Amino acid sequence: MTRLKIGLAQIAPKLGAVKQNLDKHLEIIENAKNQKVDLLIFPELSLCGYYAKDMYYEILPKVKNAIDTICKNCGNLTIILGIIEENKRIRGVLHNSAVVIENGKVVGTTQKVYLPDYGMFEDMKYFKPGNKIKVFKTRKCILGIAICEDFWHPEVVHAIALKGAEIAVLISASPFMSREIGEMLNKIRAIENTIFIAYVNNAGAQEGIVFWGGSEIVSPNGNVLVKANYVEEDFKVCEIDLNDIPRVRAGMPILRDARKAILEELLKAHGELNED
Amino acid sequence: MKIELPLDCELTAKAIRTFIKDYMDRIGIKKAVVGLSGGIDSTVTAYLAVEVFGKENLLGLIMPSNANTKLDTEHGLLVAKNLNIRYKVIPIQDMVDAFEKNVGVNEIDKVSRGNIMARCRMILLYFWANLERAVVLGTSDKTELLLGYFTKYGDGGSDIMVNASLYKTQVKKMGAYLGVPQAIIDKPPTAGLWKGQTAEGEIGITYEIIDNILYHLLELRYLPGQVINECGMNPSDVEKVLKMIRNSEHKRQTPRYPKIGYREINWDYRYPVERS
Repeated sequence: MTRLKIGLAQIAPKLGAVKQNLDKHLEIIENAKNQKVDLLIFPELSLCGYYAKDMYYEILPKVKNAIDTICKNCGNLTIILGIIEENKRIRGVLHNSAVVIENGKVVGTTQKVYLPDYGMFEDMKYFKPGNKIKVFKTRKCILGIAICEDFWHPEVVHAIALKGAEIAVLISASPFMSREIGEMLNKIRAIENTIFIAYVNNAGAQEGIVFWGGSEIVSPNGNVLVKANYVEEDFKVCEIDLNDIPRVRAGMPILRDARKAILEELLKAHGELNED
Repeated sequence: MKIELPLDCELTAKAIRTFIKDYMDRIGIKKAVVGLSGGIDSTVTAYLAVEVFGKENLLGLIMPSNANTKLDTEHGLLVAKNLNIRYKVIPIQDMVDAFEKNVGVNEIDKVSRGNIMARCRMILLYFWANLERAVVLGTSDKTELLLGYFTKYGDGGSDIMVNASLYKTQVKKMGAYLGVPQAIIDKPPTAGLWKGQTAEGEIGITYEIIDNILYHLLELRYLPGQVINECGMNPSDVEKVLKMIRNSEHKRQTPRYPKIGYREINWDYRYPVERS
């Protein structure tokens, strides 16, 4: 099977209201099951909201319980959602993470590697950055996950592609002013890695931050296959064909031509930066 | 060269309304009170808000003093009638006079008197907000806020601000998009604090120029010298605008206080707004 159905659950989580948000997740999970969705994606910090500030510490246990409930209800779905996660070794240290759920259990988590702290962003104030780019072999596809700021940096999706993922799942809480650039980036990341991009943004508003929604799937050659509404909640389902990947790569051998020697130049340049 | 400040009216209106809706939901309030001066800012505020609150839940207060013209009141009434919202006309001159009689000062300058008027209106807005279990909508636009062209705890006193991310010329553009009567759009803006006062007359620069200076300084991050040399703005205008921004910083922020403890409010104790 090379075809799979992806569900983009563009929700507007309520800040700190984990129970209410969980109910919304469960409702969409049932809807997705009815529509025979294979891979269901929720946005960044979908269980607790993005701008919860000091609430993060207090709602961590509720988020853990909510993940258990989602595991019990996942059916045949592969589900990705945004969570706050406690560091596996160090208690009280939080990550902004994504969790992959399948067959009633957590398959794994991945941690946001670029935590923005400029302008209105405060990720670095609350979270510890991850250092690993992981890919997950799920029931229907191989995927990697980038969280919001992660896909403003080309190397994250590039690493995901080089590690063999077919789909780069991008989840975000992207604010209103970033819409035009965000849409460009989705296309650029798809093309420069000839990979499917499944992008799910938050909708609604939190503390004055309005999220632009506009979740979408972009094909490996940069076509938008499905598009959710701007700003408001939406749920979109789209079937993709993973065979599009070799077809596109035959004509655009960008990954074939990716060169370690050139990437080493990049590393060298970083080294020089740090010497200054 | 001057530019027209960009604005996607449709999407921005949607974003602003989403913000208002989120705030209402979080604090569990369904009603709002807005002062209708007959000017463009309060009119656009009402036009944006009415769709969220519904016409029966938005109360417009028209609060003329001797400093206002008959046309101001007529335009306030026109807005209330066009939107079919509930409204009250409450003249404030008697309150202002009573205050002045009792304040124990013989001569009151026009700025102090103007501020009394603005604060009388604030008291009335909050009185009705208390009675109706409503929020007070602030009407200031970004240009006024940056210049400090408002009365602290007068028209600056509100629960949420609807236009605060739009420059004056953008508010006018939004007004045209929302179908605001042309006479209100074309009328020279005034704070209405003394007879014959107009904002542009008082500041001595047109809003078109002010907005261009502000937009280049803030949004495009031009340095003041670049605004003069590359945008061809008058050096004294740029100087004046910069001075107004700096001198009014205190008006835009919550009152400062010393950070003594480990967890002081807003410094280290940081929570979203909500009411359970």
